[in-house]
Amino acid sequence: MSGPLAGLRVVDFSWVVVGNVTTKLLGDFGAEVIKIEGWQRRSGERSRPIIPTEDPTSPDNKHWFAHIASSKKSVTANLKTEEGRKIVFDLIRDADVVMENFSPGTIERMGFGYEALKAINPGIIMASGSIFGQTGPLARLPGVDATGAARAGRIDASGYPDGPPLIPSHLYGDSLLPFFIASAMLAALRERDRTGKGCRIDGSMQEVIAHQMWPLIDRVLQGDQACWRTGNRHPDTAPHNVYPAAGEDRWIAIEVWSDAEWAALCTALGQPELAHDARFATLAARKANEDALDAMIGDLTRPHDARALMAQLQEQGVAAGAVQTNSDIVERDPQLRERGFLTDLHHPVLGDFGHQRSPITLERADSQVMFRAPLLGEHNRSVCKDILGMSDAEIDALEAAGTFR
Amino acid sequence: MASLGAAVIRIDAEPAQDKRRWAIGNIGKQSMHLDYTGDARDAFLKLVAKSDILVESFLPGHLAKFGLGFDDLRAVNPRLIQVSITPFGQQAPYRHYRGSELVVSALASNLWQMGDADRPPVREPGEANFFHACAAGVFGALLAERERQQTGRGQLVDISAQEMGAGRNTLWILQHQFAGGRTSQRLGQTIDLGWGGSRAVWALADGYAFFQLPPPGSPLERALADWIAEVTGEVYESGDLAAAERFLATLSVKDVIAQAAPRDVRIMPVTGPRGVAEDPQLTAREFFVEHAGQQMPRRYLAITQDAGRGA
Repeated sequence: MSGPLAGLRVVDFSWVVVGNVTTKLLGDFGAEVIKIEGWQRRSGERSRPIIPTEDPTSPDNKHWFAHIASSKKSVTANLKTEEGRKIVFDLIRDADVVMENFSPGTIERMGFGYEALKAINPGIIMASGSIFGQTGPLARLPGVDATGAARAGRIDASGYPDGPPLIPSHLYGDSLLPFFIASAMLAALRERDRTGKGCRIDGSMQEVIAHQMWPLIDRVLQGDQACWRTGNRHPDTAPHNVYPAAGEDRWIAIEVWSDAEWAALCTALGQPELAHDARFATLAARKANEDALDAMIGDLTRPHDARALMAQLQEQGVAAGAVQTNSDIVERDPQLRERGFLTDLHHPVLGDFGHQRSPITLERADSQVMFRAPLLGEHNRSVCKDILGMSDAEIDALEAAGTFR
Repeated sequence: MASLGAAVIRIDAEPAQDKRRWAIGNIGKQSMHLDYTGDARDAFLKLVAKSDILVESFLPGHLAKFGLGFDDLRAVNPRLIQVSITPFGQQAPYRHYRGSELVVSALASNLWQMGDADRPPVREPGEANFFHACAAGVFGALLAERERQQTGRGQLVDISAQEMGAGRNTLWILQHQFAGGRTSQRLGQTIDLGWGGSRAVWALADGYAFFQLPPPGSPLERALADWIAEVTGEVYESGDLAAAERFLATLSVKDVIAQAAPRDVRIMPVTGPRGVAEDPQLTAREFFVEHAGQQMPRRYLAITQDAGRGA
């Protein structure tokens, strides 16, 4: 392994999304991430078929797991057996980081809480990711990504100005929180190297989303109600919206941030005289006539291919983007393709497919060492042998005793 | 970075016009006004020479016009780590494209997915992708710092807001690859994370809530049925969306908060700005701080060496 985190060992109890995204970030950059699973207690995404499979009971053919568990090893240690627990404690004794994202209180009930781990490894850094954090009146309330978003203003501010709140069909807190946790882990490692002491990191999706939403929330609390649930409009500028383009359900997003950009947009759309139209000549005028402004721009964009118009507007210094679908970003986006957004890796069950790399580009191309997700228990023998120093005979005996089931 | 203990010096060419808004993003930092591309360029380079990390978010090439590109700065300080957070990154054909949140979310495919099928797509609120990119920038800086411990050399960390947004679409990227190019659809208050649509936003008597009908036959569905029976006397048939809708519309936000959790019905009222500012969970965890009479978030994570302590 050659990534910047080579030499770092992570014991990973992650079982659905937020923990697994965090440890993928570490594994992609070279940390040795060992997923602790069990045949009866599999990492959650091993059981969730987002796409139908021939054998829904198989732990090794789930597509989402194949993404979020890439760059990790899998050890199945039956935590109901003394031997299984010993394997995990022995791994933690020499590990740098432990990650978990069970409902708060669960990891303590399992006997792997921070106090227990600190007793055997004072330098351990233990991180928990959850909806509301480990403490407080809502800490033990179950939930998913959108539960935290609901309680942080994100859902209430989403949608059309004349409609109800909405939720997009993709994740936010589950993807956002891991970057904060992973950063705190690296900062904590630096501190540990200086003091010998580890720490507990407690990440809450509600809190990081409330952080992201706070500039808008603060504006509303100061009396600017109009900046809440604005759809595609922006309280500080116009035009700033999504406009129709040629084809069925095709759109282009356009942002104008100055009078000069407004003039450039008018020219690019073949109507240079509009820049001097008193209804739209200044920001104040454009905001005052925003309905008419948006309708007029929509009429002008409608005949154009979204991608061609985007290129033309960007050439003129106007921020514009074709509204892409999930298929577009896989098949048709030259920017993502050239930057290596997807890397083909071979998976023994699913075959070759494009895996997402972590979205951080360092200068050295081999800083990222992403490899395919593990089969359930794939690394039982190698981890016991190479890390814990067991002999083949000892491992055989454990296997025979059901320690890895 | 400041919340993790770094000494952060915020540099602005001129004082901010909106001090209140500026303060929110800059708690815990020192502030300098410096004409760094003009008269104070030499002073800026002296500061760079003594710094570990530079964070900037100009379009690629902008600072180079003033002799302040990364190669110029690296010549002054070979250990310097520069984190550049831009709409589309430092390389490839769109690197000079302009874009704030709306344009980035369009090209990331996030914009496409929210809204009604017969209306234009609608974006997420606030600076969702750029905020996410900032979090990645911190991680990138710390990765580069670990490399620097081995090599003694700094480097440029390149973060693209488009990549951050596109990266959140894993479920639909997989659908495209494994389900015959399946494309996500806008479904209004229903979400589809790839395994079928599920109504997610419901009207209450005085607000809205996030809720998904529990799986048929599950204990969670029984909990919902028991709740409906107790309040209305009606029998809830498995998966009856209309019955759930009628029932929830009779409940207030207060009813839901008081009654749902003890019954293990997993519904969460949607909170607006005032609700977030006064949220008992955030308050109990000392999430907010008052700074110069202004309430604002204090920290991103709770970090402690004592498991019993909250924040």
